[in-house]
Amino acid sequence: MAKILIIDDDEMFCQLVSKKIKEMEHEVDYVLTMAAGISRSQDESFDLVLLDVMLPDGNGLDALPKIIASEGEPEVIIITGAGDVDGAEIAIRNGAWDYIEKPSSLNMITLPIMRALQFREVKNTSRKSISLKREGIIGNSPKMKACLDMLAQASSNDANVLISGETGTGKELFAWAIHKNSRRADGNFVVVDCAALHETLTESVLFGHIKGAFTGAIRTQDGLIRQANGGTLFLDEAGELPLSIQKVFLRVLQEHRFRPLGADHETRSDFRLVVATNRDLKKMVEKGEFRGDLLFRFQSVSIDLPPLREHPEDIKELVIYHMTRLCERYGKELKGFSPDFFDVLKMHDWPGNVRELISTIDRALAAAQDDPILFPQHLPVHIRIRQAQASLGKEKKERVSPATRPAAKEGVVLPPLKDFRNLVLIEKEKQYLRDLMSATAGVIKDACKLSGLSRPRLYALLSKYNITRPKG
Amino acid sequence: MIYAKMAEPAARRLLEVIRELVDGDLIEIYQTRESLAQRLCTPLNDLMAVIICPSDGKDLHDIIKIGDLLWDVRVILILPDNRDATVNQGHVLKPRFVAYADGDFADVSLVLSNIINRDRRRAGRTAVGYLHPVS
Repeated sequence: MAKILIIDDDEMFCQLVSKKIKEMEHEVDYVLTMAAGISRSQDESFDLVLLDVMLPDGNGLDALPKIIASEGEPEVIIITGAGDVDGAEIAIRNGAWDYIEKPSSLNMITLPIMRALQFREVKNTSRKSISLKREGIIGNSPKMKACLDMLAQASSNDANVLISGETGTGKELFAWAIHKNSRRADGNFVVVDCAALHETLTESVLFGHIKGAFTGAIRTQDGLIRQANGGTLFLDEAGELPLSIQKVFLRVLQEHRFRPLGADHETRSDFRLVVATNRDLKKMVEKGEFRGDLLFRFQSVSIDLPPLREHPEDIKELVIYHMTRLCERYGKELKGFSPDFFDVLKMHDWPGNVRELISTIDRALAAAQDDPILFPQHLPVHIRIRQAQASLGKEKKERVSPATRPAAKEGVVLPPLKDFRNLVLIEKEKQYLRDLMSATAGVIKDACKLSGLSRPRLYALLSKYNITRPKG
Repeated sequence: MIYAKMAEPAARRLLEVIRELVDGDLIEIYQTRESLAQRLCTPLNDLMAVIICPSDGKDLHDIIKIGDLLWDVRVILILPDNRDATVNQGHVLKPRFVAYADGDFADVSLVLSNIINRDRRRAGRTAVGYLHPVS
């Protein structure tokens, strides 16, 4: 018996649907506002939530992430009276299980509910029986958990997998984890970097060649497809595969047979295909740059990795994991973090995603040298400027009241450079001194040693900013 | 970064090919596993690729033992021979490209050239690997 919550301001609709759900022998309750829905989902564990979009206190889609992340991690079906294509896309991308319009017949709602609950039952059963090897994949946000669920499913069979996502989101890590969790874990994991290969090389590298097939073919050589026999073939940056090769590769996927260059007979290879790309292959198909039939073959299972800016709640865990790994590698003592270190990181957009985050941590460790605590000042300048700009924007809003605020051109908030520099310096000095007092528990001798300041200078700065030492 | 024993003819040919693409100042050469491991335990800022050219199967096996240090690095692998056992061992390092010691490395040159160009395009877009030095 499942536990279901309905969040909809139409009380009659709630009562009718509740009656239907009770006939299906499930437990059900309903609330009429978004706030009440969020509160209930956090207090109790539900299996399924039916969520209306047009609620009196807001748009139901805004509540979706909180509800999905709540105690029971329920499946969510979005229900609305007005079908909205963009809203459907937003809902599904943010983890909604389904999106349907209020049906004219209540019977039409039972099928999505049954399917959602069936899916949940299978998912929970799979989770219990599969102990997933993460292979260095870090993150427990709802978005990452959804991707890990897909990984677990992909690992349990040999279906082709398409992993998409921006540069640095961990596509190769996911491909490796699929391989290591699959029945092919003992076979080769063969990487084909389609972007690194020159067009003239690709065919020979993939399919192999016999001796003399072309100038430079000094011996017969197996290609990567043959070397992946019994294992996994990982096609990275698949969007770079030349059209001529796409045609041949399609046949390989269909029949698992191919002819090495110069050979007069075909060879077989039993491989499992995982494909990764940061390009929009659907758009490439529309432009004629990628074969639609090949894309169709690739995406038996699709995993869309979110950019880091869409799951900032994973940043802390990522930083701690990679900082620990790097400290072990460099033979350094583990470092602590100042209270605002992660706040600064969360303000950055991370266009390079997790790879950029790892590089940033690496540089922060180098900047910190023997300091035991990582402060925002150890971070690269462009990240600190971003945080300072955000702080300045907030301070400016607090200083100028709405009544006296002059009319300004929308979107333009730019102080003179000299003022900006002074404000940044003052702010960062103040913050540094607060962190220093915190890190040294107010012991002046330790604070002087850590900061490199003389005792008189330190006292002068503390007085200037009215910073008191913590009471011991 | 190149791992190769420069006494080997293949290693010297490889270095000639790389020097045509990359300034000598930007090439680091390591001839022992220990020196390579030591280097990999220091910051790898802006490292584009590590070219591993083991002299034989045992040398390859020894490099695989420090494979954890290469997990976040782009590897180009030059295998000493094309026997199945050697090839299967080589794939443990998840190389982005595999060539063989008896070749002329023209293919390695093409691949490295593509990697360099791609990294430069990405650096222009995201500043990864071209971050301002921390002041």
